[in-house]
Amino acid sequence: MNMNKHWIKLKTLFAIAAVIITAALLSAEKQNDPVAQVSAYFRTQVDSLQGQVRLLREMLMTRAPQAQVQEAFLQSRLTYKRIESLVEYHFPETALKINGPNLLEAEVSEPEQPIYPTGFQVLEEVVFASDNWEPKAAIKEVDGLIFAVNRLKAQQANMSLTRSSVLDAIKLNLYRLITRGISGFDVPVALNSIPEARSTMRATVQLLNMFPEADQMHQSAQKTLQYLEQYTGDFNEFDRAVFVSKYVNPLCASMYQYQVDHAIPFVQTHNRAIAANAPHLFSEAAYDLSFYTPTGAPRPTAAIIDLGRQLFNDNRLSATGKRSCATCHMADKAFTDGLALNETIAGDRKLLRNTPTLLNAAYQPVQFLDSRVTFLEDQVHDVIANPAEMGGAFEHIVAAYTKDKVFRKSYQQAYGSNTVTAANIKYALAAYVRSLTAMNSPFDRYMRGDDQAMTAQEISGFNIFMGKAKCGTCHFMPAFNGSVPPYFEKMESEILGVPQTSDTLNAKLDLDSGKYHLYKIPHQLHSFKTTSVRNAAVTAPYMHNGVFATLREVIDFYNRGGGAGLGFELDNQTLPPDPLGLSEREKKDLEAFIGALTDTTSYKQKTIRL
Amino acid sequence: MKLKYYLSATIAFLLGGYCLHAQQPAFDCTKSTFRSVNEALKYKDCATILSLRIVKDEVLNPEIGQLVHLETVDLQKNSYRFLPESVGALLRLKSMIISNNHLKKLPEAVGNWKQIEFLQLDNNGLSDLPLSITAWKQLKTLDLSWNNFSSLQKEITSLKSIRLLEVSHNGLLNLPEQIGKLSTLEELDLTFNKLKALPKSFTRLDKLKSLDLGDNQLEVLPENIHQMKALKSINVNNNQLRTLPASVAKLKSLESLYLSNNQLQSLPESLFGMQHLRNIILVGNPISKETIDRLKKALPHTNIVF
Ligand code: HEC
Ligand code: HEC
Repeated sequence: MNMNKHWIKLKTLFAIAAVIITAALLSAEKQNDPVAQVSAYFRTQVDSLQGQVRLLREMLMTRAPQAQVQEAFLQSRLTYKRIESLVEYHFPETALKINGPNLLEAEVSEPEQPIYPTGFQVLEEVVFASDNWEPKAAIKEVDGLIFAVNRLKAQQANMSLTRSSVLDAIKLNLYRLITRGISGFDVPVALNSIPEARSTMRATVQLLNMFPEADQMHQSAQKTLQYLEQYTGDFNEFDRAVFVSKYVNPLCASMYQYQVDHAIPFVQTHNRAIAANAPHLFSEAAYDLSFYTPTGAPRPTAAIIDLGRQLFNDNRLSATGKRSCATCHMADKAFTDGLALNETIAGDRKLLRNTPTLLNAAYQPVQFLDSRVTFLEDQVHDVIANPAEMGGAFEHIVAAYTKDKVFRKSYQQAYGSNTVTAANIKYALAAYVRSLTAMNSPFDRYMRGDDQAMTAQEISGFNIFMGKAKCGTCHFMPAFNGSVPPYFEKMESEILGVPQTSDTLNAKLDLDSGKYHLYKIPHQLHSFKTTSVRNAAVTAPYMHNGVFATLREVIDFYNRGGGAGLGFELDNQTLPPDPLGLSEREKKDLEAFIGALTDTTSYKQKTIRL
Repeated sequence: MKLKYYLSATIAFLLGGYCLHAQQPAFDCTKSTFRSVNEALKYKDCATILSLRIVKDEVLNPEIGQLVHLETVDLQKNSYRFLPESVGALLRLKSMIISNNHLKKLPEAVGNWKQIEFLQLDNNGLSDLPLSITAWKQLKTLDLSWNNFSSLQKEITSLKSIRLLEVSHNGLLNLPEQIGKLSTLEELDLTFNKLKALPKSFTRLDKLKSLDLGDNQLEVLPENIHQMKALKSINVNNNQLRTLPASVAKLKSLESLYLSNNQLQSLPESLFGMQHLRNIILVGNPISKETIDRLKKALPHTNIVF
């Protein structure tokens, strides 16, 4: 049937619905209905965004001076920030079209068909280009923006808003603000992040004010806004540590309290790792680790974890009977081996990759540097069956354990059954690895309100990490890995241009193809999962090939602009190639901050207790 | 392939429906295809078919749960990242297409789809399924291709009526031990995975007609493959097979055997007696010319590609 006609009909329907809703709104008691007010707010703001992107187009058509276009661009972004919370929540795909990262994507079923990025971040590169000002190139991008904004307008009647969903959307947006917004993630060239944070907070205040009987929450939001309003410094100097710990976290907590006090149910969806009813992003137990656990995995009881620990240290899992998980993941080396590369089980050659720590492996939506598996259970299968690593066969392993009376006793305690199965062996090992959490570092304690937990130098290092050095744009808080806030369900991989050796004069690109080998997507060549920086102070050497022996070497690598700074011509490097210009003091502060992410106590307590 | 046939039939069926207008005289609610949840909500006591195919919807309207008469739903090619729990209210659902979205998980409530017969979940980001799928006792067709499964939970083996299961283009490392319980299975597509071995129970799939194991890392096929009596076609292209089990020759219904790009140096003697075989593809194996010549003589009516 004719799609156009169909659209017209749909549009008419929407128009009619809009009229009905507007009429209903006018009669409703606006004062008492936050949802109606939010809806009206959204409509007004979308209209003004529409006006602004149209103006932007007009300016490009009439060849306005670049500086004026830049101003109009920034203005449009500020307006977008006023509705970002709702757009991201109700129109995630349109949000991506409006403000997605300037990176190629591809469907795995069509690896050769790049999906080109669109929206503000693409436009930003054109509008802020230092030479070759090409208004024409920008027009196409603005057209895309106009299209996306029109879509918001057409679809706004379809948003199913409730008090729960509005509060949820605002909270997720505050997470977005502190993890990505203030790090410069989405306005990387103009670095207009602080004014944008202000716009986000103004909107937050306005939206929260629509909720009645919320003094505490309103005050908290107002204070957060004030902190931003009074800030006069630049992007680099902004004190993110104070902003997050003293303002945004308490604001999130007051929203949580408001919802509890007014019995507004917390949204329950299965699309995120941080539960909607966590008081704030850094609360203890904010993560719901079952999100990263396959359905059907048994509840991780002490007995199952203990069985997993035994298995972890048991050589019988390998073909030769001479290797266990602990051979490479040693507890006293923070579950690494301290080597650049370990050896195959036959001892005839090096393994392809550096042994990563297992601390906080549970906080990853995918495992391995190339992201090849989702769950730890499958990771365990992969390692045991891998002929280079352990070369074990589950048939033999199950048979061996079935004969072992001592083992069967622990097994019986864990599973209440005597029949050893491969699945239960994997569950136990995975449960043990999942128990190796270390989220109580000085940084975590600081974020939970203990001002004394970090030194001034560590705090300064945090601010550099989240600001000038841009580390936080890839190593996202709070896990400091590539799992993307605020849902933490997707893991990013990046191309840094890691060299083969630490020789900077004759540097050669490391040849590991990384994630590319999974689906042969060209722009994923040499891309690796963004590993966590937590505990990095105790897990040298670094990177997928263990090329850097010290944190300082890692920082120097970034400071140079990664592979680009070593002279590699990698047109798909996703790390910005510009040098960071870090001073000696700044490097030291960064190192100190990474040190404040070390937590070797939480898991040790658990290991000893068992 | 059969699936494609079902698929195109369903598409034709859905697209053939009428875009409704309340005034239209011949309007039959149960036969009309509704194009949006809001539209269907006006007829919630009778709306049976809903197609949101390619409308670029981003979040499925949770009010879909009120459309309790829905039997056929097509959500293909939208951008859903999750389904609302309320889909669990669609108790009469028979056919559901959710292909080409961005789902990572399904809500537990899908276990309420007790009447579901046809379910397409291909081209999403799924790594596991809810335990409640054990309630899908009527399910005949399940398409999980192009997702992120590294393994399948044992619950999948409770699909009592399953005929067609597609799990191609995932990262499967192994199959559930109990896979043999799927005794109604007729077509199984596991191409493009990372299987190194098949579980013991596999050969209990004795209704299986079409077995696709191409592009895995298999080194052997089960010795007792002859128990899979219904097999008409076996595809093991692009694996690491070094030998073939002799019992393959006992498969009386076998018509096609695809073995290209393996490590086969020889063929079992029994194979030379498989007069009923129509096609055997041996391209890319280190088999001697003498063996091929002998095979040609032994099986003059078989199409032998080498
Ligand atoms: C021979 C050394 C070795 C042994 C033995 C070993 N591993 Fe590993 N492990 C590695 C290496 C190397 C990697 C990284 C591989 C990659 O990313 O491709 C790794 C990765 C992992 C990961 C993924 C971590 C992440 O952040 O992606 C986990 C989890 C893990 N191993 C657990 C185990 C368990 C459990 C065992 C025992 C069943 C085990 N390993 C045995 C060397 C080893
Ligand atoms: C463009 C994204 C990106 C940025 C920006 C970035 N990183 Fe990384 N980081 C990665 C990726 C990807 C890896 C894994 C690379 C590999 O293994 O080859 C990594 C690895 C690391 C590691 C090694 C972890 C280990 O155990 O091997 C450290 C330490 C680290 N980064 C610190 C930093 C610091 C400090 C900064 C800021 C100066 C920073 N990163 C900026 C993406 C990034």
